[in-house]
Amino acid sequence: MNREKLVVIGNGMAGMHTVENILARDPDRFEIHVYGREPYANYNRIMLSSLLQGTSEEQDIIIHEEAWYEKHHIHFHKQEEVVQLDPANRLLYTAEGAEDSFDKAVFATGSDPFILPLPGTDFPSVIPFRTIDDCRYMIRRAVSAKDAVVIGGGLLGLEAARGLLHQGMNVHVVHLAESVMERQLDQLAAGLLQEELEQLGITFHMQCETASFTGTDDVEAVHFKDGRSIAADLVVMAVGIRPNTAAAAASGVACQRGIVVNRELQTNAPGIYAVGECAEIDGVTYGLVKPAYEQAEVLAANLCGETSSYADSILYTQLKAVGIDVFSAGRIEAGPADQVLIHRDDTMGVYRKLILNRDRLEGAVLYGDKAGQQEVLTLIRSRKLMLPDEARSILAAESGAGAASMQAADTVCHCNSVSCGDITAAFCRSGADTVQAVKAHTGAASSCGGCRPLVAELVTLLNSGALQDDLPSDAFCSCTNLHTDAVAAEVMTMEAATPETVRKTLAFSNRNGCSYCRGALPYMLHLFKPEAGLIIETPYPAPASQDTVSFMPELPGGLVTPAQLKQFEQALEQFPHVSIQLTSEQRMLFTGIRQQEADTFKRCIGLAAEPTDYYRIRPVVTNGASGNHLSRELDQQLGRVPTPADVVVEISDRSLSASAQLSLTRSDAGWDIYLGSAEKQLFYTAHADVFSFICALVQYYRESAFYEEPIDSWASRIGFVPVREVLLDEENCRLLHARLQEAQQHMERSTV
Amino acid sequence: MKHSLLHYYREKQKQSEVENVYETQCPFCSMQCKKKVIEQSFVTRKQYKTEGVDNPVTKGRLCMKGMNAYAHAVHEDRLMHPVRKQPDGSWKEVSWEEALELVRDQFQTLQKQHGTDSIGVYGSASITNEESYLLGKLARVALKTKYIDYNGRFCMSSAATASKAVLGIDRGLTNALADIPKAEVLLLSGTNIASCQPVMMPYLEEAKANGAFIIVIDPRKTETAAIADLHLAVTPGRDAALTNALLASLERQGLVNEAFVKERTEGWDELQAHLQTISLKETADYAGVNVQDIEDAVRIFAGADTGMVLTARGVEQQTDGHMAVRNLLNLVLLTGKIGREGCGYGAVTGQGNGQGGREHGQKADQLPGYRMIDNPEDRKHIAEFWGIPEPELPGRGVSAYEMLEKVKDREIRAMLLVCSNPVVSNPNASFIKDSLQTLDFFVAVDLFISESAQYADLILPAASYLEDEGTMTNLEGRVTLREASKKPPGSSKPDWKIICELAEALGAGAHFPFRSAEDVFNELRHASRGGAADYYGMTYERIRREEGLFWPCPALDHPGTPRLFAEGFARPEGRALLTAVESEAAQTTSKPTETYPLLLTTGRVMAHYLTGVQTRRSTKLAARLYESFIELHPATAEAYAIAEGDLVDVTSEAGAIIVRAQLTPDIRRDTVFVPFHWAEHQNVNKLIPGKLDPVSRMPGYKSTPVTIKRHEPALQPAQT
Repeated sequence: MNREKLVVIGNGMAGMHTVENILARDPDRFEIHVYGREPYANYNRIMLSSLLQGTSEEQDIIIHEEAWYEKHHIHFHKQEEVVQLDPANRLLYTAEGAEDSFDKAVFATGSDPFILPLPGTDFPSVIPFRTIDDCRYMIRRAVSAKDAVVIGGGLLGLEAARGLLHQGMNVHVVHLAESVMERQLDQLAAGLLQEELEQLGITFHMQCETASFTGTDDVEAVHFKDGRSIAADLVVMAVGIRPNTAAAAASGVACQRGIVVNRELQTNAPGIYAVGECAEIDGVTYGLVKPAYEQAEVLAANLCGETSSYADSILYTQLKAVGIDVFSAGRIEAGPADQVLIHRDDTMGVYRKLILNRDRLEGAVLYGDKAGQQEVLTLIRSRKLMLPDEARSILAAESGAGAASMQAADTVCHCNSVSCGDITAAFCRSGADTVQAVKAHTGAASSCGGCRPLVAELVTLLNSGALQDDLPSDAFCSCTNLHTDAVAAEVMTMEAATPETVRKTLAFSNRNGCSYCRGALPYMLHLFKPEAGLIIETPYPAPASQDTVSFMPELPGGLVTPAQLKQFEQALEQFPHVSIQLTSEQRMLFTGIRQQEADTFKRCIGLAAEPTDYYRIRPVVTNGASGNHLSRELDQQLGRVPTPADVVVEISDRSLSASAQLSLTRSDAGWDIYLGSAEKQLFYTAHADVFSFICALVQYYRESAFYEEPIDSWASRIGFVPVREVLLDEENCRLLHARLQEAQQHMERSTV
Repeated sequence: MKHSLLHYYREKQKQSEVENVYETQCPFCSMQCKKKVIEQSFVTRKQYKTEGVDNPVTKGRLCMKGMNAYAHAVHEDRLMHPVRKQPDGSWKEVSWEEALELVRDQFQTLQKQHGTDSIGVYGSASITNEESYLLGKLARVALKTKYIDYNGRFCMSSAATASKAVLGIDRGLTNALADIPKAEVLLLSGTNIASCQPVMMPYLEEAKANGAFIIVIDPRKTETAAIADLHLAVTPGRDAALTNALLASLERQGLVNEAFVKERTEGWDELQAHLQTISLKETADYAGVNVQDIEDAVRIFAGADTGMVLTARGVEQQTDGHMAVRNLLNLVLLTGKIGREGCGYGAVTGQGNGQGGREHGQKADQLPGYRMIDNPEDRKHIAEFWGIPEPELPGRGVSAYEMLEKVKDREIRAMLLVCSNPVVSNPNASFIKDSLQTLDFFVAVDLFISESAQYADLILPAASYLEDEGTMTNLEGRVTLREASKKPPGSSKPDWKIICELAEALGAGAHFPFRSAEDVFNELRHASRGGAADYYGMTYERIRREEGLFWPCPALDHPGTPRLFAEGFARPEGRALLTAVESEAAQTTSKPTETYPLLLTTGRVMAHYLTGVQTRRSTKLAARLYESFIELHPATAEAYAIAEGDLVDVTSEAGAIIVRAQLTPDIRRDTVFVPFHWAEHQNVNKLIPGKLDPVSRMPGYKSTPVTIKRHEPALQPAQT
């Protein structure tokens, strides 16, 4: 199929933004030809002033290299200027004498700088400020020349002046009006701006009209109508722009100030359009990038067969001058029916003004501090109704709390239980740097969509480099860079793994392991393969003195029978040097047993010893009678199973102690289960089988915590809701109980 | 168990063997999100997951309730066969033949002894339009009883009666949801959309992004109020007064849209005279809102070119709910914000089919097509259509709660309860329990032995939403078709089939010859023809193809009516009715007293739905909130020596409950809040007195004087 041939006349920002949007919508729709009279690919014209001010380099301002045109099969006619179209025969002619055909054509010819018709404008150093070549000329000239005169104290003139100052010149600004940037700033802001620029060293000649430029080979002086003159080695003419309509007018396309188009960006000639600074819509032409871009999007949509129509842009101005913050939007001067809010702080050089009309924001001047400019634009554009309080908060430039104040554990997406930390992790580990990617990785904003704005805010923050400090280190331990998941994957697939073989296979830097992995690897091996038994690599705790040992018999629930007491009595009669202590855990500790008699003594006591060399559920502490049965059951079922860290459990009728991480108390609502030591948080209230619930909780903790992570920290990290989701599901509970039982059986076998 | 490494590696290998996909709609709220439930069979067990399906209303979004709504439908507690209560209180499975015979014998015997009106039918706003229609027909044609009403009575009867009186038609939203983002101002009164209809929030967010100013009226700073530009924390139950203050300020600021009022309303002179007698300061004080906020709200609302008012149960579930809604309609009319793009009024329905459930004869005073049972023409039309003599068509019955009063008074001897849980949802819950126990015969149709069904003599097992095809009308008035391809478990059946079999058993089978839900719909279409809620132009095929249709849709080539009242109102001369509303309702139950100094208001939380029978059975939802709570201001808590997490006794004239304290500054100091999804000692409806709105017969759930006290454990340490 033959594609339609689209010719874009002008290689500037409006034209190329149109092309970009066409490519994004329907890349194969047109055969695209671009004509540009400058010898460059597409560059960012509004950044020329930062180039002049030394805040960017030439390569920074290039939007598309020539390779881009090739990649998208765009025929780029560089340095060819279209001078006329023949709409009837669909032909175009260039200044270089070439002829070409087209199906559709877009004028994106921009504007030409307005040059005052004065004597001496043909000196080589009397130039406008419009192109990269103008900019290069100024920078070159500044090396040898001293005095620069900028004609025009509008936005462009001031930016040029600021740039020439940076280039080391002695700068004068000549302005016809009473105040600078009079179309964008009220008198007060203009005064402040002028003052600030004067302090930087710029000299202003206000209400001053230029008469002529004189010199011999090049300009040497500027003469004013009032008779005064000033020296000048370089004159920059910045008195305004004029839409470039020459080619359109020559083609018979209707032009007034600009090329006349309707809101679909169509000229009066069928299939011929205009976009950007050269276009005139309802008598208005725009000289700013934002409206040009908005028009480009509308035009691209229309060219691609959609229907889109351009609504007036909100005009706003932002002076790009180093160290000076000036922003204005909408109306600048208030009328009698308006309400004006002003915040002024001369000590900080800040002046901020908002104009409200019937509860809507219609204009703003922000000088010295541009915070809130985005809000201002949004409010003006949307014509949002607002109370004075909202306006006050913009004046006070309060930055929104929202995402910035979120903690890692805070829930962002309630539907899918995604926390701020999850999103941070997805960003850092998986490179999810857009809302879509975060959605795909974490599920956030994938359900009701209510949190989407918050997710978007977070993504913006993360992209700006904030929040990332919260992320825990990735590595399993100091011997490796691998993450826990990677170590686990390896351990699962290895046959007959031991801590040594794991370290060897995964090339741990320390073959003997560190204090962490000497505990963590055996724990993980046992978790995955309980039948192999628990390997003890690190003695825990360190043995006491050499001569004597201590012994804590297992007393589930801390309950002792009279028969057991009698047996203890008999043992102590036999070993009178052994003493008996009651521990804080309500258990009996026999101390002072001589090494050589230890086995005999234990036989006399007749009970198994509490394990001492790995982390586990500590003997349950009971306060009050209602927990006796439960604590005995918990001790019996859970006491020997290794856990990621010691878990202190307490069952109490009364107040809870700060030492326990897992506390149970009986209330009229059921068994209240708390997690946390000093700060206890209610985790769940169990009505029926609290014992089985705790077993499932412990097993889930065993399976999903990092080694040495306390149970309360683990639950807070994962979140109470996701943990409860698992535990309240009967099927999950069955699986957890089965796996706990497996681990427990093998522990008993291995310790017998 | 996404966090468990062990689980992950052990389960990784097990591949899904079979996959079934069920196209359906969420069974919960009035948004009626389209979704599919995917059933995966593994070696030993089944797993379910839910995916949203694109649709014009929610664009494939689902909230946490919708994501997890399969859980109750596949729950092991589901009833598989009819069960009959034994003398010892246990349940015994019986055949459908035996069950139906029992119903016939019991109903016929009782009707012979006590008259045809001795049977009550209690329906639901969760069943389909087809089933609502059939249940009404069953009551009137097969049982010939006038006593039929439904739980939707508690949903939006105040808004329904108010809209009917003022605008002439009651449809949830007078416009499509798509108008919300076009509104410049939104006034949300007593509606916590963020928690109740989370998938509707994007409409509000979009409006906000477009620059809408949002005013929220709520005693609490809810998640919805959090996005507001202006939050008016009204005292519970004082909505009519607050609106009077707004209207008086409107009149005084000269902001009434006089052209609209003149052309399209009646009653302005009386209303204006009434407003001029109002003291702004006193009324504002009574409502608990300051005058400046009221003036700001009015200036903004009236100053906007477009705007909408949305209400929900906060305004409606009051003993003056009907008038309170009418007062807000006054505001809509006086500012001319209805019948245009970006304008309108909406009562945000709570239940899945809260809208359709009240249009086709399930309500005591209604006949299909939103016809009225007192209207001779309507009676004649429907009697003819049903092929019965007009005098045989019973008259108007009573509202849901009143029906249970009649049970207690032994006027109603037997009851058929369909898909409802009145023990938990009605006010004065202890009374309801007693009432159900006095029935001579009680048959319930349910998925579970619910808190109410446990008092039944017979329970008939119903199909869940995954197994029950039919149309549901969403909050906009858009009729949607819920597909269902799953086979009901055991011998359970869709409600429409159960109703047909009951009719057959009762000897009226000839009037119920339906073979499918679509058959029923086709009869409903014709029955509604010419009525206000005219479905005639809709067919299953059209609803599928056009992704829902707005009623009225009077012809097969009619596009449906997304926006009502563009031309005139459905009242004489096309004029809407303005009405003077008293600030203080005749019934002043909601005033705090010395004994009960705080005002209790109730509502939903995001994770649960209605009485929680379905959502409490979903582990993921229960995990989010496994017990009820009382929300109170820290200053109030301090005054009553209550700390965060304490159990609290909450007592009113009607009863007492025990719930856990949750402290938040986002509530008025004189107000406490308890959600209503829990039963037994956490059932907040035990505290609600049985007083009703005189017009809508709505109970006053949302403002009850209560007192609170830290709960002293009754429990003694067990002796071991």
